[in-house]
Amino acid sequence: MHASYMRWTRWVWFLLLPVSGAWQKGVCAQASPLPVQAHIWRSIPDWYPFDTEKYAGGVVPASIEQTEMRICAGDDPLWGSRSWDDSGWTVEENRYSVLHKDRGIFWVRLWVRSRGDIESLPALVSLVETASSEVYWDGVLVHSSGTPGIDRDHEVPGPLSSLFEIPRSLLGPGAHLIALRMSTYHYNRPDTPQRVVVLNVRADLMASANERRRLYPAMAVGAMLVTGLFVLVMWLVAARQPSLLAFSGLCLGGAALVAINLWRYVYPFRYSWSYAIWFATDAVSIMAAGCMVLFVVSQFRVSRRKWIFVAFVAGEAALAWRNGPVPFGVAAAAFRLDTWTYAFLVAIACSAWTAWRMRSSIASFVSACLALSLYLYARDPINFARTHLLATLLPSLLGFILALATMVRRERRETHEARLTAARLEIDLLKKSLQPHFLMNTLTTLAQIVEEEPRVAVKLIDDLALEFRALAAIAGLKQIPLSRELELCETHLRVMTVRTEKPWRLEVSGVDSSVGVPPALFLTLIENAFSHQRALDGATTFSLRAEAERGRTRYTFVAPGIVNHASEGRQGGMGLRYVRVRLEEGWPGKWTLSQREVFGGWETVIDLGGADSAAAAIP
Amino acid sequence: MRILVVEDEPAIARRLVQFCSKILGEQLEVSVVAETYEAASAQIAALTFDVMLLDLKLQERDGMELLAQSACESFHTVIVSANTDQALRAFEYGVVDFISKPFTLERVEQALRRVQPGGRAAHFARCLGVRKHGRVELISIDDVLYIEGADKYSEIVLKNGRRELHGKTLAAFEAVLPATFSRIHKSFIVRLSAVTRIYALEGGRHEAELKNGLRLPVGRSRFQEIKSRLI
Repeated sequence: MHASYMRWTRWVWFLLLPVSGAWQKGVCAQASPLPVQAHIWRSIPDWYPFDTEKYAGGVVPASIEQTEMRICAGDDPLWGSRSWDDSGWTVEENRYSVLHKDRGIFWVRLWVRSRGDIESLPALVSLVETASSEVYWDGVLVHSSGTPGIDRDHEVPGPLSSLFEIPRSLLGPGAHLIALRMSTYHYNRPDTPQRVVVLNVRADLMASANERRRLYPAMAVGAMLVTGLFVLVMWLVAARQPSLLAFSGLCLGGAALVAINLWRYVYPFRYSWSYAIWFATDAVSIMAAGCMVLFVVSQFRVSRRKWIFVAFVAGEAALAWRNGPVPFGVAAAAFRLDTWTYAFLVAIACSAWTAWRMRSSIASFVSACLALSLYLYARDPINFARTHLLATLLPSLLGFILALATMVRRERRETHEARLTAARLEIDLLKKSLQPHFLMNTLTTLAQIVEEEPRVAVKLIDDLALEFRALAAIAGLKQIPLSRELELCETHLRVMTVRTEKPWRLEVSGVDSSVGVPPALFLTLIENAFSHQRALDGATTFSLRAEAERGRTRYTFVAPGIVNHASEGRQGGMGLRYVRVRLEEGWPGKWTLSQREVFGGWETVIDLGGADSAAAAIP
Repeated sequence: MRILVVEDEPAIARRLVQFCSKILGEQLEVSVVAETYEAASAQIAALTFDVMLLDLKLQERDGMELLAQSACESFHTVIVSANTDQALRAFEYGVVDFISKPFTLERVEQALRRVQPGGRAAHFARCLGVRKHGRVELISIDDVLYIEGADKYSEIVLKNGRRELHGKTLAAFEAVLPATFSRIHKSFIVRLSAVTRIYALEGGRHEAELKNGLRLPVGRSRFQEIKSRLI
């Protein structure tokens, strides 16, 4: 699996980055058995604004000549003197050598000299190491980074990064000895500690490098923090859209990622914290990359988005497993590389699929933005989390912002349409209740009943008034309690009982009277029955049965009578259209309505709160 | 007078029957109430009626189906409906009157006057229904050249020479046809615009020549009226 994964990674790099140096950086970094953080010799022009590693990460100036490093376990104050013969020590050719943790005190020695004049010798030394150390220059202690000790209790851990100046008096001509007395008991990681000793350059270059080192990340942290918080508040207050939360997570995660990496330059934390810091870096990386994928799948409503996201998380887990038993430690840089590459590829695939399937120009634009971000990321993955994050993610963030803006515009339009729909529904309901067939027939019946049975006529007037008052009160509402709806139905049935001289009634079972339903939902079904069905003698009972299960409610309504199949209203007349629009208004995309003829009547089944359904489409 | 009330609401049906009884008194021979389309069709097939009072929206069906069928029948149709927006469409089928609900005794009386001899429809028909192979076919009034009375039936003659039998009498047709038609003889109603000449024959008889060259007799008592309308 490892071999196939390597092939896959190589192919991705090969296809995406044929002209960049990322092939060498990415593949070599993964292929190396050693920790690979910023250990690549590079040739980067002076004007390149982002690369602070040139001055602070691992390049020895060309003006300095040095010998190999020699390492010896043990402790002797004489090992720091120029006169000590270290020819018997172990030669470490790799300047980013592996330290042996928990093995007591050990020494490292190397010689440096200027290739030219004295000014070329380092004035400042940058020390990045996961150890406590004392630095001797020609036998003189010039810097202490914590206190090396013979065991964990005696060692006082020093800062991960430190910067110190070599006294001018020690920078004479000729070769100079640098000796480090070290121990590393507080590494706290299961893997091998690493050490980076950088003999660095002139103070002015270091100072400007440090300024740059702080400037760009500070800008990134500020911009992404504000953006992330703004969108988070939007999500909390205005709209609980998953894409808003994901966008906020991406921005805040990005800000956190940079802040964590920047923190060491603001507050030089002890090297014992390095494991926690790197762990946090990788965890935040995964979270932010996951938010990027989550944004795309939720914003574009990619089908089976839950499964896609689960598959993405599973992929991340597989990457963690691939990196061995310590996923957040060993080959941390390579792991981050995989995390973001994988996230970019998944996000691009999802948005491109949406663009192709939905012919969405926004999705196409976002795909292009993500591809550009991936390209930028692949050009320099090492500095992504330190200085390049905002610049790398900027195209994607712009694409996402455009997608969000488009969503807001669409929602405003939908809100406007919804208002119009609500107004139209209100009018529809009032119009339905005032339709001549019902009202005029009732009045004509009333005219007759007044003469025949005045007391029945008075009751009819009461019921009619009750029905109209209720309809006027609920017409503008989106939902009313089911109990109120049932009262309305019973009032209507009393009116119809007088009109048709048949004892109509409604039988309900299993209903929760407090739940909300669209106004006149079942009343409309009753009206439809009177309009499109012929009553049978003795069959004058409507039935309503409710079944609630796992957040869904199913209403089964049966209207008695012989169905007229030729009737338009049974298929999609005004009444049924009203019901469908109301259901869509209250349960957008999460309702179904089906009808069928049953023995002795017509059954309507309404499912509320279920999954998306094509049957929910409004004709 | 024999009246068929097609109404699915019992109280309204009772009211119509009561009003007809009050208005017609002894003249009301039969009043039958049908609550459904099938019941009304069965009554029409079994009995002879002079007037049908029809609700356009029966419980389970659109009353227009029955109206189209009744356009071929001998009786007059009066619509009694709450849906006044269907009035114009109903008049096209040759109904005599359209009573909107709720109605008064006076309004029903006015409608019944229209169906009595000499009465005229509130609006003239724009088409006539004829039975063809068991189905109702509507003929536009504009296509009718003249109508010839034949005992209890009539024969509609179209401009293209086609002849169609119809159940209505000439008197019934007179009530629903527009003023462009005139009864020139006890057996003929003619489209006046189709008359090209009137010939005076021996014995004081007259004949009207139509555009297609056909000559139809003109009744003595109707000659002056026809002449004045043609001039």
